[in-house]
Amino acid sequence: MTKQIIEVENLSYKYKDATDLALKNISFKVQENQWLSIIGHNGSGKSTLSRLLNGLLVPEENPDTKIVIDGLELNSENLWKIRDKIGIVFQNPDNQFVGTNVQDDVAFGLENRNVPRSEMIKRVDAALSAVGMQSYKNAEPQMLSGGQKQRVAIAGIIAIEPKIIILDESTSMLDPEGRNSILKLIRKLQQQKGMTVISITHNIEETLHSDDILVLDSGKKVAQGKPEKIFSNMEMIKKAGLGLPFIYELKQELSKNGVEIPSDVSTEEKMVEYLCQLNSKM
Amino acid sequence: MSKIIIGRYIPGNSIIYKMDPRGKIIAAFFFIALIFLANNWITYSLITLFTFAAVFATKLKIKTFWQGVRPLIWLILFTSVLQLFFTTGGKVYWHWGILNISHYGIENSIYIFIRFVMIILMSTVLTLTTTPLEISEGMEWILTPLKYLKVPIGQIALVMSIALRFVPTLMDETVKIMNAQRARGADFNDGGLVKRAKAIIPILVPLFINSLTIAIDLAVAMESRGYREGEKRSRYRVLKWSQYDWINFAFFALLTVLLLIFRNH
Ligand SMILES: Nc1ncnc2c1ncn2[C@@H]1O[C@H](COP(=O)(O)OP(=O)(O)OP(=O)(O)O)[C@@H](O)[C@H]1O
Ligand SMILES: [Mg+2]
Repeated sequence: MTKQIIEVENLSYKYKDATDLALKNISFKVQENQWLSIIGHNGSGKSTLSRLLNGLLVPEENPDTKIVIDGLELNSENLWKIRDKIGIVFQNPDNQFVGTNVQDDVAFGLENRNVPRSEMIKRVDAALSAVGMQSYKNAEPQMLSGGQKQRVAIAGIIAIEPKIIILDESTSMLDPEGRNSILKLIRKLQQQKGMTVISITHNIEETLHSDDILVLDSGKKVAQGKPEKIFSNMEMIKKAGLGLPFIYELKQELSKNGVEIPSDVSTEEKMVEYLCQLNSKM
Repeated sequence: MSKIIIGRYIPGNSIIYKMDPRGKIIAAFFFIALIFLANNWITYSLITLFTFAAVFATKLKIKTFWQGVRPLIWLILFTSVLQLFFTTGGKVYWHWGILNISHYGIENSIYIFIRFVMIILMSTVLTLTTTPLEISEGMEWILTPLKYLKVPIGQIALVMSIALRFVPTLMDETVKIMNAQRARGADFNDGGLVKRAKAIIPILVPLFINSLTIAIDLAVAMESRGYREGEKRSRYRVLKWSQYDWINFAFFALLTVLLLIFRNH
């Protein structure tokens, strides 16, 4: 049985100087060790939501609002315990690099938690080898590529061993190769360490492999479900200002031409297989 | 552009590089005090020899040290010349109105010259062989007693290290902005002083805005990674004393003793 790791109820948020709510009455749940993708157009509230989860932003007092992370309700008392459970990798790799070199940066989160130095050394080494950056230990940020900096940021997060890792467009500044290798790395960590992953992305293809997708539109949650379910709801996707992944686009075009593809054909490989079979039958 | 060296540090691996920054900073300050012990030819020669020994021990090119002295050479010469013409005492060799060249004047102006140059050389030895971060960490350790006066030394040190870390980033940012302005026809190399100064403003404004964005992002990232102001933090980087520091201190002790002996001769 899977455990529920995030539970959000009736969450709304308004920025101080804004007229509109950035988030409107959002409720959702995430199971442990799942990969949740959050999609939505620019300004739909994705980053706001992620920052509310670890208390970087604080919602207005409301008895109906509830944020529970790994059994702990988010309040000023539990704030720091919850920050130990959630690590966020931000979009711009430069602006989250605090240390003067790679190992200092990875150690930053540990220093904040007053971890003894001997323990820090072990954890920094382990985190750096997990992301394949141990040979860059002493490198300074300006000597690293964007992808390498993003790996260091991830190492800094896994060093504190969070249960949840949030990627807020963390791969959007990388080339396809850099992006794939980072995603592979995160997937490996998810499987090996049982982490829960929340991935905020504009790359719709990336979401195909997730267990769950949450769609936001102008601060409202419009859908949550498996990729097959989300992407078969054409109307909703269009209304939310999003595009379909290539494979669903293809399905749709095929269906227009009278070739119906069953809904369990949800990846490119399956599609190729199915079309080949279809071809041989004809 | 991102290869720019912050401060004046030049990488190297001679023995002085292996010394702890704390020891080097203390020694540099102590040296300034020591110089005032010198009062005759022997002691000034000792100081000069000692400084040259330190300069050679860095194994860096002599030219780099000259670059440290050069910007100040006119000031030094000016001060020495003043000493030369206005000091009276001893045998007078030449005089005209209130100006005169006396025995003491010659001696004093040479002493002043040596004093200035040696202090500059010694501090150049420190800044060439110690990274700005190390200097900041060394200063942090030296200023630790201020903690008892409620001065937030740890926070100041963190601010310093982050500032140093972002110098290259802001340099890159400046280049990017300059290139963007150039693409729109800005010209930074021609025109008079006023025109060039004016061309700087369109660089400074976006640079300022960009650094604010970076600062806000960084603050969010730091908080998200568990940074709490004023909370006790452990340290990953630590300074370690080594045998080289004892060698360093031993030399300074020896110099002190020699100066004390010979100053009364
Ligand atoms: N600091 C702020 N002050 C005021 N309003 C803000 C602030 N940050 C975001 N907003 C507003 O809140 C809304 C949601 O922003 P948010 O950054 O969460 O969107 P997003 O889904 O992450 O967008 P993107 O895909 O562009 O990253 C937007 O309308 C935005 O203008
Ligand atoms: Mg965002």
